[in-house]
Amino acid sequence: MTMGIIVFFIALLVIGIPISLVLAITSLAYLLVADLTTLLSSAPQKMFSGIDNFGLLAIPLFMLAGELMNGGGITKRLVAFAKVWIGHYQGGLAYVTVIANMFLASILGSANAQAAMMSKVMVPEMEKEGYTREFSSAITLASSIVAPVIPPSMLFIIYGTLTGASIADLFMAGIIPGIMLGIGFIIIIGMMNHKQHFPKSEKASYSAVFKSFIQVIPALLIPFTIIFGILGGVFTPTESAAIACVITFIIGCVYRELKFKNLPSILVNTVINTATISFLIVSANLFGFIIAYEQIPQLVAESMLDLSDNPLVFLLLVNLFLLLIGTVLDGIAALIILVPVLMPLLAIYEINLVHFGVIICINLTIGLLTPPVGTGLFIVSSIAKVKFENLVKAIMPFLGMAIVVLLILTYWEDAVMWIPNLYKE
Amino acid sequence: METLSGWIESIEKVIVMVLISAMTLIIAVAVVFRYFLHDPIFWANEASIFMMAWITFIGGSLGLKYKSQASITFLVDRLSNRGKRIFEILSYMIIIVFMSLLLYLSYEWVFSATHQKSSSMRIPMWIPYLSVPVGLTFATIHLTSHLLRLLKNKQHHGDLS
Repeated sequence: MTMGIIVFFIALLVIGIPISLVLAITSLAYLLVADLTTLLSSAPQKMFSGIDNFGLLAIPLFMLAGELMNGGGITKRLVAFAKVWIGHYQGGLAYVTVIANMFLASILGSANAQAAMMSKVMVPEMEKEGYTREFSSAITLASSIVAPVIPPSMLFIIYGTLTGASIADLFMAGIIPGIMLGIGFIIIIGMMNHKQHFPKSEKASYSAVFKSFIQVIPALLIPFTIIFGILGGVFTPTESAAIACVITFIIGCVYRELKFKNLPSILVNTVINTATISFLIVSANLFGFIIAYEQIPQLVAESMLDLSDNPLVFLLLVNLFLLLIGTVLDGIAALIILVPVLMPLLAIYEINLVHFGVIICINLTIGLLTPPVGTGLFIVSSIAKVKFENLVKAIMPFLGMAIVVLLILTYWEDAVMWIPNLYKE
Repeated sequence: METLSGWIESIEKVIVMVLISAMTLIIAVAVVFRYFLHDPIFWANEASIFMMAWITFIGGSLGLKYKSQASITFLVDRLSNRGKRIFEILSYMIIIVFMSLLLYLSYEWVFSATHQKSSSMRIPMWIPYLSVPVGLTFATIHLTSHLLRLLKNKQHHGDLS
């Protein structure tokens, strides 16, 4: 029975049925075959209860803020701002890409959205200055993975609603890891710079520096509001997202780049992107039936404990497993399916819920960079028109660095938990 | 079928545009009322969660119409056009069969819950619950329209992704 369901599940996935539907169909099939009629008739109720959570509302709201911003000219100004400060150093524009990505990450919560936005802006700009297209695309894609690590973050919101961990704590816990990833990429560029002598831009005049600073202030209002609003207890992450939407909307009007005729498509895009996630959550809630009924968490826990009772070994195994899963499965889907299975293990190994959330989210984001199914690779290779294989080759050093940072964070809990503990005192 | 699916698509778009704008405004205004005017809007959270339910199921249906739901395609992509088409038809058939079952279950569920009231606004629970059957009905129409076009057009070689 269990075997049959697993085979059915994999078969549905392989023939290309969307993952959210695979979860729902497998659950229904299981309930039918096991003849659990009462549970079967409560299936719609179970699905509905999957969205009955105020935290989840942050997903459409942060997405809307992102979409509004894309049309609002903020990306361009962030890049211009970073460029006047560091563009004139050797390899300046490569560093600009990393820094601008970190700024943008404090407004956006999804690596895919950020990679798409940044590769449209940065790759042509870097190419113009003499960088190869492969390198420009690789650095843009790699540094976009800070998006779901530096708050706000779609993955943290989902993890928080799945586990009950505080989304505000997760947001705060992401700050240092996000900065560490950025520094890691800067070190790689520095090392490559040593050998290859990257180009540099002309030094900007002081008036240009000043002007770009003035222009970027409204954009920096958004992360400021989100972080200090949550820290100060003024609002919840969900509410901060709604406020961010209002601010981006006003800024878009101030910059005169937000066109009212684009609003309908901005709204519809937001809803469709939201629904691909929330529909997955809804189906996964139904799928939770089978996972619980078949006692899969208990089985996983037993076999894990047979292997080792050391939390460090457990975390290493989980990391390896997730990196492998991340190569074939979309990160958000993997998160939604695996977290309920892994969560009972955290209590056994005495692992902090927030620390684990940061690890699992960084790990699955790295999956965007790994072939064959790294979504980020597909997005950037199609936007920047780089061959997939060449992009994979160019991304390798950055991928290596991201994994090193992940391992450091796995075993250095204090780096993750420092800020969340700080604001609680 | 294709015309019907097109009409539904336009209706769905209008619904979700109104809902997402309203939801954003309600939450933002609720913050202002609570923090600055010290007069919280008691129904804001519940109302926005109900809107999110409608956004999820109507948006999910639109996502199926535009084939934007995440799926694993790297194996199907290696097949010939003919193989792809067969798998696509098979996928749609499986989805539609189970979708119909879920649709039946969800109508039964909504009709059985007519007496329930929501906890803070005291509105009937069928208002948020109805999002499930309505969204799934629309989705089934979109999927059937996709399947019919696939069966009619032998040369078609799109992908289900």
